[in-house]
Amino acid sequence: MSRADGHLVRIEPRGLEVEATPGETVMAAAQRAGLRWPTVCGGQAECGVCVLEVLAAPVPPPPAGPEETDRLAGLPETRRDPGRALRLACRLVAVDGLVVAKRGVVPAG
Amino acid sequence: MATVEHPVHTATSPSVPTDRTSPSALTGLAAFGNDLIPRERFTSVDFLALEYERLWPRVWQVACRVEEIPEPGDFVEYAIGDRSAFVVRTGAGEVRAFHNTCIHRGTALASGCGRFRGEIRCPFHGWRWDLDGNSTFVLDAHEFPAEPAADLRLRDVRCETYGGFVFVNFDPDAPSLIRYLEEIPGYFDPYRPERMCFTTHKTTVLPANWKVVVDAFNEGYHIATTHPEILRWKDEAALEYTPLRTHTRYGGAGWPMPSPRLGIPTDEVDEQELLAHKIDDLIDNLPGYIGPAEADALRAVARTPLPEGTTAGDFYLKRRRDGAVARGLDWSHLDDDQVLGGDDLLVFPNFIGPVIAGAFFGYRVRPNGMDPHSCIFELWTLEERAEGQPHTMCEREVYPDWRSHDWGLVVQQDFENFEGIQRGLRNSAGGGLRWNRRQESCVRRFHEVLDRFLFDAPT
Repeated sequence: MSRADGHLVRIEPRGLEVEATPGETVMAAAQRAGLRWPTVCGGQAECGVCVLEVLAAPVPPPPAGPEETDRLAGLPETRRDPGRALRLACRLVAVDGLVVAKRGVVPAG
Repeated sequence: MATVEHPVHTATSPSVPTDRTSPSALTGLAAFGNDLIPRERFTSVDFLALEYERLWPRVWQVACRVEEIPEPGDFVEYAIGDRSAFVVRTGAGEVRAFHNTCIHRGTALASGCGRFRGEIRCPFHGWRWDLDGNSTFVLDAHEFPAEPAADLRLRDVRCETYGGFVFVNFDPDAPSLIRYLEEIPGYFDPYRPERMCFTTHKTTVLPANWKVVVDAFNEGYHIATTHPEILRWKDEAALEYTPLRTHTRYGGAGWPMPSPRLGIPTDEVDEQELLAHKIDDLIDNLPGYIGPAEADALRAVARTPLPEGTTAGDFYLKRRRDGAVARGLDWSHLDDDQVLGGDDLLVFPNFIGPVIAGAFFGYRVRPNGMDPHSCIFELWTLEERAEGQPHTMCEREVYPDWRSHDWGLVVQQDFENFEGIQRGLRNSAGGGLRWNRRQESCVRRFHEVLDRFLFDAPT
């Protein structure tokens, strides 16, 4: 895949960079790049453990669907600080230049 | 007699018992080599009948708490299957229990809870007894054959208290309550249950066998899947399981930390967020686990910036202990595990829940009539009171449909599992079941003890 096709995503606080294919979720892209992303349900929008914060998005990513919205509403951090741009990594479709924050994303192995 | 009607009747069940088991299938675990677990024990009406015959008439069961019956004449009914007893406060301030049936024509004398006005009176022919059960009046007594006064007493039910809980036992030859409880007081005493009183008393009906519900709360193995949000602040895989001789206990793992299942490197753990997760989850998602008097203060703690170099665990522990002192509670004898994580106790067979410093969060579960697929569930939350503070009873809430009430996220997540568990268990094509040797060891012990009662199995 050429750089022109991929969507570059940066994951803070480690500054890890992955390339997502069009339509790919942030978690899928990270896993494909050999990173371990915290999750329990394995990407079914059920556990909420993969939640990330969107720090910057040059292009607005597709909005959360109903199942993601429901799960996010149940998370304590959403209630605590409704101003934060929280999304589920297993549902957030990457856009080029996206910068997100997620602790615990580390190289698998 | 003023009464509050008992809104959930245990003796009537809408279900026609169709789940029959051949007598040969009515066996204990040992017959299956302690390997696979026969699912009929959760679905068979014959197994349920065996429990009514051999278990419930012989075990100590929590009937109510002392603060429910503060004044002479106050009573609470306790029903299990077709048996019913009522616990009453006597004129001398003692607590006694009687079979809830008139010795004349059998009428039930108490329903739900309420207060007898001075004497117990049968609503059918007006026979009366004092609060100690002695006959005081028989209408037209001369038209009955003469009987010794003792024969006209209400029939006693064994009744003893521990930690403010009133227990009854239908077996007159049962060992004393304190002997029956074995190791339980060793775990429960430090939290001073006798100084606690009700903050929540909720009743509902759940679509599962009573043992399915007891089992669900007797292990932390389901936390990762059923309550994944808890993994942010609890290493649930580190819970210690302590199957006792008759009862069970698990606990520990109270120190706030993300579950290793999340794979978050230690140096990337955000202690501030950890603190907020633990407190917000406990208060918002498990209301009553932390008593209401403490919950507000803790909510502020969740938003307090951690001093430099302080961990969430240290900060939370100190604020809980300081708060207890401010409320006049003495926790100086409690260790950090008891303040952070507490103990999950099962008082065999049907009273289970976590106790931590300052509060108890318990479930009482009973079969629902002759329907093996339904149970009566109660959520009792208690909060510790400082010495000298009055012990009060909260309002009792009844929800015939569990879906009509918001139970808090964690209990709701458990409830949502039950219908599917029971439906799956009823699938007659399914084979034996399996238990995790460590994390479900308390579940196994519960069933082994059940077999001790049902099949005289050695444990």
